[in-house]
Amino acid sequence: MNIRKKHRIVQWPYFLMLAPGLVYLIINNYIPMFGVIIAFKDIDFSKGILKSDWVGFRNFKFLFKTSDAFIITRNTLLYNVTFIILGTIVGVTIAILLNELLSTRMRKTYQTVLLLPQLISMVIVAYIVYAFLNTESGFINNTLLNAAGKEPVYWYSEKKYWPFILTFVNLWKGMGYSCIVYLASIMGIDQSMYESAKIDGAGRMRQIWSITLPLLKPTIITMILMSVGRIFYSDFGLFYQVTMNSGALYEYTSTIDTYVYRALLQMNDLSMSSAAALYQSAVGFVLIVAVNAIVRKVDSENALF
Amino acid sequence: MRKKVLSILLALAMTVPMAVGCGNQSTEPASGDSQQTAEETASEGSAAAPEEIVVRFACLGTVPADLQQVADAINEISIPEINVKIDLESVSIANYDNQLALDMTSGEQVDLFCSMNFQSMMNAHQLMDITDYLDQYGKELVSEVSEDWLKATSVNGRIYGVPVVNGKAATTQIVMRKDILDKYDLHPEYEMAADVTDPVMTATIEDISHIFSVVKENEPEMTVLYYPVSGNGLSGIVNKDPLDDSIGVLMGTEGFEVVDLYETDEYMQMLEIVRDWYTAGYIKSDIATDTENEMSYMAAGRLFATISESEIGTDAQYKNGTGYDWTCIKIKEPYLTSQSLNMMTWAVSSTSQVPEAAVKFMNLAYTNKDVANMMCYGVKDVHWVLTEEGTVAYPEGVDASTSGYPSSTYWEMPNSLIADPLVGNTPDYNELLRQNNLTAPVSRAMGFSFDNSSVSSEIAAIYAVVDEYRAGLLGGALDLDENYPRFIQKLKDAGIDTVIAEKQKQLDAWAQENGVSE
Amino acid sequence: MGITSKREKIAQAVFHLVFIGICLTVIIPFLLVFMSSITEENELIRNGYRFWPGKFSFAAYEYIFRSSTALVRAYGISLLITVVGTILGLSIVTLYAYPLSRPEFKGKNLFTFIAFFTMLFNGGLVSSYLTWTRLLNVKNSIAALIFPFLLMNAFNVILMKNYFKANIPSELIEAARIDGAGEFGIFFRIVLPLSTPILATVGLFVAISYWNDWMNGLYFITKRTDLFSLQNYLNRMLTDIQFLNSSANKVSSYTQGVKMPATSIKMALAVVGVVPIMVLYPFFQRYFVKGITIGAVKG
Repeated sequence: MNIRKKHRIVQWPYFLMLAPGLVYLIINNYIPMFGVIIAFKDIDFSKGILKSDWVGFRNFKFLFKTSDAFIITRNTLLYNVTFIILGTIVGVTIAILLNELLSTRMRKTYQTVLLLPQLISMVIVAYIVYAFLNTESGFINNTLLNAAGKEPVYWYSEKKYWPFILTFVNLWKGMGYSCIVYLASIMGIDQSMYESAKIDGAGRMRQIWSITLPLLKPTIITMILMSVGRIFYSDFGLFYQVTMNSGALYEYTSTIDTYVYRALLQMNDLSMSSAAALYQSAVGFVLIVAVNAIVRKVDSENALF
Repeated sequence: MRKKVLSILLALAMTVPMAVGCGNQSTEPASGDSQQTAEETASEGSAAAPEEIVVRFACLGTVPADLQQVADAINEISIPEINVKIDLESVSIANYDNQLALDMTSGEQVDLFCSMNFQSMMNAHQLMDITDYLDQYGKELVSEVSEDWLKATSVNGRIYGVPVVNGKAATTQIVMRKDILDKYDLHPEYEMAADVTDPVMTATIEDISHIFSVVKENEPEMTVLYYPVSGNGLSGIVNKDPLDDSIGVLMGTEGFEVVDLYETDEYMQMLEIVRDWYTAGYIKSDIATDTENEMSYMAAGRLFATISESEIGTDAQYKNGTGYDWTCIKIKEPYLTSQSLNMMTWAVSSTSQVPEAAVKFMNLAYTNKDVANMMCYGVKDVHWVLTEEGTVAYPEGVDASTSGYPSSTYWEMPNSLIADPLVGNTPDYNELLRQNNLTAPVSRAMGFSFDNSSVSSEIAAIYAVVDEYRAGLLGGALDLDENYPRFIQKLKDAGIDTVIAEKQKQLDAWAQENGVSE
Repeated sequence: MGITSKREKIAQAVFHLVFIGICLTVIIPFLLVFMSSITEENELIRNGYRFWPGKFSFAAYEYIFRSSTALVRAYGISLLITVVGTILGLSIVTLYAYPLSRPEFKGKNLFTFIAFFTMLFNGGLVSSYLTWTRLLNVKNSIAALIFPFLLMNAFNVILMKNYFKANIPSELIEAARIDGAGEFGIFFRIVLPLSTPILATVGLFVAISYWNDWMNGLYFITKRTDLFSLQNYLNRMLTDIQFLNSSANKVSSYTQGVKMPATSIKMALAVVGVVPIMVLYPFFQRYFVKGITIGAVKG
């Protein structure tokens, strides 16, 4: 087999395989990207998008008009960093533990249960949290603290609890999802590696440490990198609905997304909302390129692109 | 290779949407042309095909299943009368503005709709100037609605919509359980204060505070006061013209000075009353985050009082919903402003290809009783029946949750005052509402409309600040000493003074132009 | 693994305890939701949320099934779009991801970036809506529930690409080539059987996103209520309630008297949305696990 022939065979089937996905990405993602111009326009419906007036960066101004610009940026970043770190640790740990279980039936059961929170919307999660924390009829105040003879806690006006509550809810909702990703990677690991390790006398911890984790590393890095690209975004439902949009908590719960929502709720302004989205993506883009460059330097195999 | 792919992608990304975007204009006329010719022939002979318009309103929860049936029934009147055929559409209220924006940018046909955001739709040019069409096709409509009311939906003398005609003289009322009032022999002397800024008002509030204290003491199982903070709470008692958005308002009854509502003494006093109520334990402690409808608590027998901003007949409405008898006390006189009138406005979309037909149908919907009844309640004897005393009720075995066209959206229909009243009200209910509309005092700035485009970023930032504090302040849950100064400062940081200055400038110009004296 | 040592048994017991603990944090809230949904409404307001209500009532379920007579139909639509969407989506993602994982494929960096870039930037709802309605005319059709937004996302592509890269030995592919197998043959006969874990995972993700989706129905299905999916029904109700309770509701003086579904109904809506997938999931899972073991044997 000569080299030239090999090359000719190799390339075209790949393009053919790519084609349907590429067409879809073009239609679903790339063609609509012209929508970013909306962020720089003053939309006039009678003229249509293309003919509306250009207004430069005016639509971005409201993002920096607030005296809370620092708070919302800080909250968005800190929560995301926390979620990325804890989410990864919890996801990987659960996946490894699941893999260690001998009973496949129980493994399946646990997995199903862990996935449940993923199947309900944040609105419902907000109601569940409310059912527990509601001052007058909530389960914790009404039943638990009452039985313990303690004073009720005004959960929705005590901001100090919320970094923990939100982190917990985020992990609770996301753990089933992230552990599945890692579990799939673990299941893909060649079993013979473990067997030879066992023959060498390696214990469970040793196997996890020197086989499972190193082989999970690429997946972990990818997952983290992908989260970094969305670091300026926040789960609107988590920060707005679960907190019941309680003003007293804002110092610890207000994020860029909730600010944008509250600012534009009554304005109904397409241009300003796309400006906000563009700003978030742009920051994410810069960060991801930077982080990816670092990863490429340290460990080029695992860089995203 | 890479370059080629990229350039193809770029070319595609650039040209396709352009073609689509322009296509809006260039493909539409094809159908527009045929409609125009249809219209020309229509004026010649009534046998011509009717013009088709799309009429849209907001629904609550689920889309009514029988829209088509109702549209067909309306068409049986509108085709012979004005040769216009309607297609009814309904969009969930939470997605209503958004969907309208999407459909208008993508060239979807929407001709006539109920706007619940006049100011912002006006600023985005979503509404069509219908002054000339109204002159031509809307004479009856104008006399039914009155020229004065149309000022609220006019900008620079041009009309962009028609206010929904229903009870507009809504006012702040305290609603209390009648049996409990009787039980403790509490008979609040309530007379409507002639001038709300008058000190008589405070006396009324004190009376109410007294009632609350008695109930609090004797009915420990009961929550004394709860109201959804999404509404105006007690803030309705501050006499003001919000000038579209409550950011910079006209206070009292005189002068044209735009001031920051939140900084006024009247507003502060109102907050203090609410805060006193809250600290005294009258108000439900988690009011700021409770999203439950007050009706649920009222029906459960756990709530003594609520604050409602509504028209006459509130007691009947609450009795229907809860099974208890309620005493309603008006604590403020109604006051008509541009905002209270244009809060719901029927308008023709600026992208409509058949505005004449839309206005013709508007004229019919505002003046024809049968059409009004159908828009409000659906098809007679299918979705509703007329009771003996002449009110509208669901037929046997049907209720709001099973009806194919529930009556729960009647308030957004063009003219519910010429329709029959809903069951529970007196047969002359609509007549009373009409009287109230006519006698309510009217703001001196009626007809002023604020163009906020030059200060939109300040306004957005201010909205965010207001949203942070309003629930806590209106519910009394926030400590005023600590939070009120912070609230005022944040408003200043967000640029409320700039907005007020701009509004003052526009208002002065408007006053001069319209010859409104100081 | 026939004989388990005592040490192993203890370890297993500890693992099970950990999982039972975690599962309880999931089950307890769900139990509270279920119990609230069958609590009599006034009881809920009087005595708050309890795990054992004083008064039972199925009124909430009656309300839901009565108010949306088409609810059963909506289940069918949800199921249909989930099955079709998952099959299509999984195929398209797998086919796109595989070439990206091959070192000998020249465009792998470019095409990875093309996919990844879509995670960072999007043109927003308006332009997407315009593209799907004007260019492809999907409005008010079943296609609107399947194609826009959900069919393929870069996250899944990259997950899959990484799996292929880490778990498909290049020697295997080269050996197959030497045996004269074509690229498609290699893909279908060697790569896919070795990739069942990731196929199951991504398949599950796609299925969940279809099952949970309600935005497409909200934006694209404006007339044909017979095409409403289950989540579309449920979320319309929930978001409208929420809207009426928010300060965005400018017509609050008119909607104040409108009685919207109360707490027990909201909870029942949640139950109605989750139960079918709880019932179906074990079947899916069994199928997937079977696939995984077959893959393992072949590998």
